[in-house]
Amino acid sequence: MTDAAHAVRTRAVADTTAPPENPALARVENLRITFDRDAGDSVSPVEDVSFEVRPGERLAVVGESGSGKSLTSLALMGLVDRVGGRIADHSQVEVLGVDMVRAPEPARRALRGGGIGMIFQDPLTSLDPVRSVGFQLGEAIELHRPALDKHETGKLAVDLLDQVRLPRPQALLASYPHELSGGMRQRVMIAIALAGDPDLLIADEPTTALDVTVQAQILDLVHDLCDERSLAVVLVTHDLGVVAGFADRVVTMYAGRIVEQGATEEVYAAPRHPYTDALMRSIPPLTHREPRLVAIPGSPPEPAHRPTGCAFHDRCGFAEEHVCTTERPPLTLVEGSSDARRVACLRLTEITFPLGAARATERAESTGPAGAADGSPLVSVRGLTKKFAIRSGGFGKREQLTAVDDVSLDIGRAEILGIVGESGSGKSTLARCLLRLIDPTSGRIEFDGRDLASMSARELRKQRPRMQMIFQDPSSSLNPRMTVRQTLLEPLKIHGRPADEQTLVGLLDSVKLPASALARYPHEFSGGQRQRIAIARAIALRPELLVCDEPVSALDVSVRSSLLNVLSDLRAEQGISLVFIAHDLAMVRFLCDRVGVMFRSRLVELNGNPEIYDAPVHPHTRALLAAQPIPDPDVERRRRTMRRDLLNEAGDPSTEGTRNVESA
Amino acid sequence: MTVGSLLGSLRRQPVIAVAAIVAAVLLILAVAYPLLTHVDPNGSQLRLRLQPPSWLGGEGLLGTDQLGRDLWTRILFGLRTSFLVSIGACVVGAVVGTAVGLAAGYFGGKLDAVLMRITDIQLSFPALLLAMLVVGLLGKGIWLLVLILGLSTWMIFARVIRSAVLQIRSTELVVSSTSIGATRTRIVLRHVLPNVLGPLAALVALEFARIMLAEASLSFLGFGVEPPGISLGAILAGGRDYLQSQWWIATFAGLFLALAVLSTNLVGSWLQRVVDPTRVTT
Amino acid sequence: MTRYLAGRLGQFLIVVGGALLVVFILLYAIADPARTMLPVGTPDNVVADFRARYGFDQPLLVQLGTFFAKAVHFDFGESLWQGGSAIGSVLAHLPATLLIAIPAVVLGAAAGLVLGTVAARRPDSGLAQALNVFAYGVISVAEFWVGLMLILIFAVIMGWLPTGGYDPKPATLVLPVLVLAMKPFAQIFQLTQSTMVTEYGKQYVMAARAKGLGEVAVAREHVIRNAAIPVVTLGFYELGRVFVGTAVIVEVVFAWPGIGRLAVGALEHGDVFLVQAIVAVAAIVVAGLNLGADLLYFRLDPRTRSVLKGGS
Repeated sequence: MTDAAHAVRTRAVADTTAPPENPALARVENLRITFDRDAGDSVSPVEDVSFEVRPGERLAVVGESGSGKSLTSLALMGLVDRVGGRIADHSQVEVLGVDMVRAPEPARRALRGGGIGMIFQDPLTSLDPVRSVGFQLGEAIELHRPALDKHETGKLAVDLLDQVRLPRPQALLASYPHELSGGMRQRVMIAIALAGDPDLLIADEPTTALDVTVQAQILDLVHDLCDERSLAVVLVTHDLGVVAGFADRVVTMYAGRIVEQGATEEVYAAPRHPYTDALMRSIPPLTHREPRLVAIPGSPPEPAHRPTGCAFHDRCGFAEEHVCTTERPPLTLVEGSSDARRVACLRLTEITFPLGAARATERAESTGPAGAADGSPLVSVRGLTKKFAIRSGGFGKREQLTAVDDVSLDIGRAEILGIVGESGSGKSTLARCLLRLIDPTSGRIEFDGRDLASMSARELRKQRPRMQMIFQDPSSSLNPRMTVRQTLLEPLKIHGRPADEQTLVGLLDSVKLPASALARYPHEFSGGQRQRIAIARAIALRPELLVCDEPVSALDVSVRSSLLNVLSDLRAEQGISLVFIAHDLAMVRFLCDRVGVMFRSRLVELNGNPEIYDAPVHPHTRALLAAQPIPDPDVERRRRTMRRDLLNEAGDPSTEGTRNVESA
Repeated sequence: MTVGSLLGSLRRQPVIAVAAIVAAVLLILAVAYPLLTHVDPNGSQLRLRLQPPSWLGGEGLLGTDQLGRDLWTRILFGLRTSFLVSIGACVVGAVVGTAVGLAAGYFGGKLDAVLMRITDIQLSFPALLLAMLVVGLLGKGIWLLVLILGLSTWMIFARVIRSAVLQIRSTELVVSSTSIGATRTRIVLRHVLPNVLGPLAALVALEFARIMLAEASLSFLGFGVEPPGISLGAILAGGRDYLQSQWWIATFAGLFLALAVLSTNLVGSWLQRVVDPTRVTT
Repeated sequence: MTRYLAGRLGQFLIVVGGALLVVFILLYAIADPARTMLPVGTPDNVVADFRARYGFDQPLLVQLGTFFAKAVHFDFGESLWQGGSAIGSVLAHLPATLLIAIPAVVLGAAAGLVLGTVAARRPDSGLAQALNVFAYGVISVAEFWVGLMLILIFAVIMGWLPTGGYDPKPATLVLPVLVLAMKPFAQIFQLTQSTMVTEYGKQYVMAARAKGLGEVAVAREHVIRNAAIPVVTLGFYELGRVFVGTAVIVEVVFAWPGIGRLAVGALEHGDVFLVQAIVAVAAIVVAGLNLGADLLYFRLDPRTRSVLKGGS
């Protein structure tokens, strides 16, 4: 390690309100990252980014796909060249006094895992599958604490695992990554990141692949570690709720540039960039039921296809022709704000956000979309059970996994029923059983009075038009070799329904897609548009029931709300009953009339909206509600202590030893 | 992946483009020349035996063999046999293998287990030895050869198609098609099959090249095509005894075989890369 | 663990048994073993005597029973061509084949592994592209042609090496081993390269770099270990393929007295007993190597170990 790095690493007192002359821990200036492409041209996913990280602070870098946030975090590690990127000559990245662009590799390497620790999005793939936990942790210790002998290294490894609150750390050293749950793996990653006693921790979407209760605990752990070790954290994420409960300061990125930055409280209380503002308002609140969500048109651009001028202008409600379309907005200081509040909008001084201001006050309980259930239910499920035979090894004996255990529920006509649960809780299996896309092991599924479970294949096919499904990943549920026209025609053809141009255009219209889409192939559309195509195909047969399995989870935050609105309209305009499977309780609150909670294959609670939110009964429901991040820093701060107690009461799933067996 | 984008990708890969042209030229030569020429490939002129190529002061474009037969003519006739046997065997292997792979991958369960166990057994069975055994016992004939080589390749098709089907099944395409009321047959033919055509095309090219080599090897060992049939392997076996002084016999026959196999191999490997189902364009 | 072993061993027996069954059907059910063995034009009464002597006149099922009962004791009859027991003749020719097959696979695998790793580090470099074209060239040429060309150059023209024949001198080994090593080299080169490129794309590699490991340590401690699992497995399969596939051709080209040339001779002489002994030994060796490959995979990958250990 260089002397300069040493000098900075003699810790400054962690204090977020430190005066500005306090030297920054890390500084990024005019960062531009370029990739050369096969075709001979080049793209710059990161165009111009400048920010600094102060000692001991928690900084969030927020952005959607294609914003360049993850590459920015790699730049802090000096690892951009390893993914084939090039940092421009005028760019500066300095961490702990070391130039992470131009310093010799050994100096930069000493900082990786030493002064800077890093954890990654997917704990499943960020550990080497063929090396034991002890080896991977020991490797990091040996690299950065060469003075320790074997015995001391072992002791430190156990100590580190203990610090990330993993039970039985000694035994854990001998285990392999695949034997651990996702939460445990992420804790091991954190232990590895702490091995070099870092001053800065970079966390790139550290909880995106995890369940919401596990996410809460990992975030709380990192939060505590910050306090205990006066560690600065750069949290890279797309989730505004996560940021609210975690960060002191937030940097919002869009299309390779920073659009807004400032203290978390200030940004959340009054966002000043139209993108930040629209994003905040598009997220359904957990506290009450909005009649309609604010939708942002379009989807975030890919690095190679960014609009000219302000990259957000084509989705912005305030954009002005000839101004926003041609000129790049500079990141300017907001008058009268504290703590370097900066916004990159050409019309910063001209626009006010009436809705944004109203948001805090408008808390009147709305009754939600109309369409109450009447009389007999459309679907009546009794004692539904699904068991899977799983094989262990080539000739192993068969074992059974109960994915859905004795579930009974009704779905009313024109009702929206939400089913929430974590991964492996059985909610997706339940969805497929409901439509008998897989055969249940036992139980009855009465659809309009007739039992689907005992129906013959031929009879079932006749019933298919009445019930449809849409899936999480639209790119895998659409045939890549069929045009949109062929895709929409297929269900109509199968069931011998008349299909003229008018019908197809009408279908596209009800999901807000233009008629010109008909001749194109699925891969020509964005994720959100593909999901619209999937919805259009599902409603082509005018079904009475539409089961939606996590329909927006795979999509960018800014395109979710408009899709949720489309689903809400389907019920209002066509009287379709919906089953909405999700893990996000806020979305369910917006959309659903009643909510069921799945936990370990069982339906543990089923109640109306808002009752289930106001008075949750089952501990798991309470845990889910407590763990759901809310995009409001004040609320989150108050909730943290309450959450800790609740999650402890419900048992800590992130430290449980068994792997999650994915069902179906 | 459309034909247009395939051609576009070819333009950026000059080596593959050259290989495709070479393969096409060889194919056209092998088909057209035997139809147009008046030279009898088996017409021996002992007066002109073991002549070097005309550009070395001998007889004919590539010289003559030990019986005075024109080597250029014989090589193109041999190439025709190679193509014919390989195309036939590929059709047999691809049809059988695709059917088995589709069934095993789509229906899974016991059927899958049994079918895959059978491919296991045949894969670990020495294929060349088996082919020699069958030819040795049942006699030599071009159609028997097609059948044997076809049946020595079906399990590779079955494996690849099966894993492609499993890959498609792991997506939500099948269940979403079921949910709109499509029958199993429709799903297999309309949704699964079109999406495995890419890997299938690539595999055909690669297996085609492999079978061409296998046919030549069998003929070289004397277990393949028999006179009056002409095979590159047999020409080479004949040239082996004259290696000392008449090097051109073995050299040119082998060179043409290598050109044909290399060009189809390169095209196949390129196809495999561009139609990789795991790289569905997003 | 024991269950996996038992299952895998059962599969080995099924493969060997299946191979023997196929041989039986071909030799005894489809073809007529007596006519195969006796010269064309043998009088009918001699054929009948011959049938009676070897039990070929018995019902097929009885013959099948006898065949397998004897096979269990490695008794495949007396070779008419070579004289003496068929299995003894095969075992006598086995060392010659192993003498070229094992060095060939070791050489090919080592070269493939090293060059594949080099190519994977810089997939776009000129060296990597040249190696790739070379590997495709190697896959695309017929071994017997390369063998003949090497003989032409090094034996006929240069006179450095012998044209063939079995001789304990190392010089005789050079050309056969080189030709036999071609396919294993190309296969392992291609697999190493693609596996390494895939592994380098995985997140654990970036995580290892973020830990502070240098590129050499990342490769040595993590990437190669992960990539080695399929590559080493393929090495064993390749040895099996070389053993019965290419060895036949190379032995014929170089007049090498291994079991490949024995097989060609046995088939030409219609020596049914020798043929079945050869197939049996070949099947056992190939299936045994495949079994070894699977067990090795099982040893190397901790994921297979504990799935079976824990049983969940």
